[in-house]
Amino acid sequence: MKIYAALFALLLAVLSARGENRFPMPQFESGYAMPAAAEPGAHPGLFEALDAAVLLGALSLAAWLVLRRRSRRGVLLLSVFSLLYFGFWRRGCICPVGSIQNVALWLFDGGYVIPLSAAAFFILPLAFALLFGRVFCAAVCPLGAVQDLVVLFPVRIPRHLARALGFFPYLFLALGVLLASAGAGFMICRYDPFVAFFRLSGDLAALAAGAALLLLGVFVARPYCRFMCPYGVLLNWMSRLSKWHASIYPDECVQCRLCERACPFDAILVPNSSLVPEPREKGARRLTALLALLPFLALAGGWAGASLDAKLSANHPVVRQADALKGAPAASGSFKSKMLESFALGGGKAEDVRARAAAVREKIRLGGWIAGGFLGAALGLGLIGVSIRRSRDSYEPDRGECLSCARCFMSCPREHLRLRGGGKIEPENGGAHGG
Amino acid sequence: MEAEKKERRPLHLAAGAAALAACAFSVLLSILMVSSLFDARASSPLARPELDQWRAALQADPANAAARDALRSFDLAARKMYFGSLASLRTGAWLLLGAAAAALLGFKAVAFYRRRLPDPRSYPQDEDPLESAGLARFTLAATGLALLAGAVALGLKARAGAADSARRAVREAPPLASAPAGEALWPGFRGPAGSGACAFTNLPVTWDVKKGMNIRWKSAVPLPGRSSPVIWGNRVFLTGATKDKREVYCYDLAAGTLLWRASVDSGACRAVEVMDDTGFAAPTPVLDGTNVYAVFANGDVAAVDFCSEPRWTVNIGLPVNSYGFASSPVAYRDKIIIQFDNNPDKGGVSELVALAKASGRSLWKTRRPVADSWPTPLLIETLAGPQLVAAANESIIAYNPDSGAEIWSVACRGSDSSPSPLFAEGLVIAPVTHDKVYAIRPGGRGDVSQSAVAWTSEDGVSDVPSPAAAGELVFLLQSDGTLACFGAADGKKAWEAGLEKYFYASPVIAGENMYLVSREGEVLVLKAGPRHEEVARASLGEPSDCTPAFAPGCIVMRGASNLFCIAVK
Repeated sequence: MKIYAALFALLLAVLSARGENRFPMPQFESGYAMPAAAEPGAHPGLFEALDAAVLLGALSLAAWLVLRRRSRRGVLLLSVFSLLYFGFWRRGCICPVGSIQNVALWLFDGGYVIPLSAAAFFILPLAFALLFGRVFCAAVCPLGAVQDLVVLFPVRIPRHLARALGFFPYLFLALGVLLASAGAGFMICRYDPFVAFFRLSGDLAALAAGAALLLLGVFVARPYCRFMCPYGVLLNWMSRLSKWHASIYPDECVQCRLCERACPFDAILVPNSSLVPEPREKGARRLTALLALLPFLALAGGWAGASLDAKLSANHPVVRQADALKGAPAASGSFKSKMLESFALGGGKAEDVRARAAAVREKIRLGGWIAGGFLGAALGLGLIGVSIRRSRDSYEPDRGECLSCARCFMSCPREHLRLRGGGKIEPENGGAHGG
Repeated sequence: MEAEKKERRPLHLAAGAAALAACAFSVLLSILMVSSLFDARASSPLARPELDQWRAALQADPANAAARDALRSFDLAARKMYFGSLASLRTGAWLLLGAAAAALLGFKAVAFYRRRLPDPRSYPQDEDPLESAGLARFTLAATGLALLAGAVALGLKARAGAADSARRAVREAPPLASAPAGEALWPGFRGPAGSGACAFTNLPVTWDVKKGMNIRWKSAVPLPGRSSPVIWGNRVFLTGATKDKREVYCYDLAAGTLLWRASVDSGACRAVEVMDDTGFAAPTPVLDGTNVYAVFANGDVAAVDFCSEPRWTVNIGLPVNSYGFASSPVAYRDKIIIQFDNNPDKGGVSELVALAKASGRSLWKTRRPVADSWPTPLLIETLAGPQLVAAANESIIAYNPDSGAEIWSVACRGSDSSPSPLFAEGLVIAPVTHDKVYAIRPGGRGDVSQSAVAWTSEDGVSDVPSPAAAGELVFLLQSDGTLACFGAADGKKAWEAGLEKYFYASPVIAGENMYLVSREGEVLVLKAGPRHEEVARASLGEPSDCTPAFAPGCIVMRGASNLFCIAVK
């Protein structure tokens, strides 16, 4: 692993050097008219449609590979393709994780027109998760693919710790949606840890974050997907309701325990029907208390979220402009800072900026109440979730957490029987289950 | 199984070797890339000392073709090197990525060949579900609470930071905004002492707006107004208003850029009628280095900081007078003092009003036994302490500016009085329209009409413009263009001249010269001396009723539509 660490460090140094190396603008002293800066044109519609079509195809193929073919190799190959196409070819943009923000902005800003690809990338993976589970995570997401490839020595994280870490995606989702809907920027994209790798260029912090996550991913499988990905929250919800979800075994569980350690994500639920349950009365009392606590947690979360308005508002360009107008002399030491000059030359009125900044702050404060309330409710429901015992007689994938990576299939002896039988379970000693 | 393992051993070893080779290649490649990057930076043609020499040579002689060609070749070489380096870095990055992928594949293969059959007997006992659920509840709740506490702490810190930055801005504004020695300081109506005089001698006496001669800049003023510009450091402030809108403006003294405009609206929404000659923004704002304090015709008073942030806005009442409110505010310590004289026949009450600079809160009000008048009060320092002299038709009264208590008064019999008093040669010189010019020794108490009046003059009684003083001479200008010069100490008239122009703007003196702005916008420059002597004439090209403000090397004048900065080029 030292070799890996050294490799990553060098890669980081090289790529960051690329990212920061810039050539100064030429200095023309006479006669040359500097061309006006031009915005790059939007992607041609063809690319948008192609991206959406490739996504649809990849999702369909992933669903087929996971649910029909039950092929880990197929899933692996598809994830390599997704990494190359969505990651390195399309440079990590657009991706469903970031599309949450496009949708949030579109919902809350009447002037924003959501691109077709953003809408497709938001809806299609969720629709597939509702039907087939998280097949998007399995083989289509480039962020997941790059992490999946480096899983070499997975270790199990204690479940209680994983549960606590699993709360962070809710936090990033709430913050991402809040800031995007207020027009304060796409935080999820800004802090995308892998986009710098996909582009082979980026600032040091982004590359360092990506490298750290990949190094961590050698041992803790897919740390970003499990403990950070905001889109994973939505996929988790959809997958819990999925109509068809991958099962570990092709027909029935023989309780051999062979699959127990097959999942690097610890998303296999073990049978518990034979265990002595908690006294019913104690469980009911706890559940009642937690249900009563739920609105208070939502309120406390809302209050805490609203109290962050000043901090969060500072991300908004209008608020930054208003703050600069207010504190420019102290901040810059020169009243004629470039920003103020351009502002003044543009005929802007400070009071307009202040009024707009106040409106943004108010919007973010309200959004803070909602986002904080959501987080408080998520916390309360999480506490309730771990307090409810569901009885299981066999090994089952945790529908919300399972990434449908197909790793567990080959650990099941019934799967081997199915493969030997050319897709059907051969009867063994009078066994009568078909695939 | 063992046999299979043995059979696969060569594959296992090959995969391991390939992975190690890919790693070695990656390391080597990375070292090469990093070193080439540093090499490129170190040997950049732009870092060569010859470049500076050629650049200096070209600057000294722009026609030096050899220097120009050499610079171009350096530039070309640097660009070639940069883009070549970019291309090799990109190739290197792809190679590095490929090598990392190969190493990963190798390690994957090793892991595949070293895989073992799962043995559930060796699995550790799974966590007790009840215990695990309890722990999960605890860690989840702890995480939630930590995030909650973190959010609240962060929010409080951000709020405290915002409040602190606001306080800091207020604290830091004075040193930033204060005008150090040699910089511009014209903080109120008729300058620092309210005397309409300054010592600058490097000012232009002639200019041509059309040709741009000596015109540093000319900037449009969004709303009309007869308030005069005031200056602090590199900022020029003035006000403008219509019946419905009131605004404060800040311009950059160097370039004339309108840096910001701030609306003023106390919400009192009271309509006021004014004469066209007065307008809705006649009072000149006053500065204290932190804020600009502005008063408008409807009684709105506002403080706006130098960065456009409104501090407060209040309404001191609807002025009731014949022409429209025109008295400028005075800044004294922590107070803004306004002479708010109103017509008692129309239900008006005359008061001297002191507002807190910090909040606009009323600190004290002193009733004044006078009718509506338009002078700006004068702040003077006497041996007995500071006094605020407020002239009006019926009396000239000095107040204690800290408490508003009356100190002394001189009775007079004027009407429609507008000129502001002046302090020269130890005397308060106050022209009272349609009455006399009074020169008063400010040391007394009570009614000093008989005891403290040093001299009076029925000549030179101005009606609109305020007087100006240069040393021992006082200049009194009447709106019909009659300019009279008196000895300040004895009231003896030195000379009188008819300028054949109409004037509302007060004369101002800079060094030896006196500037008089006529209503048509023609500016007469006269010697501020014991003899009438014209130095020059120039025009703004548009009417003006505003008194000029001076800064080192330049004069700022307001016309009907534009603000002008006139400086020797």
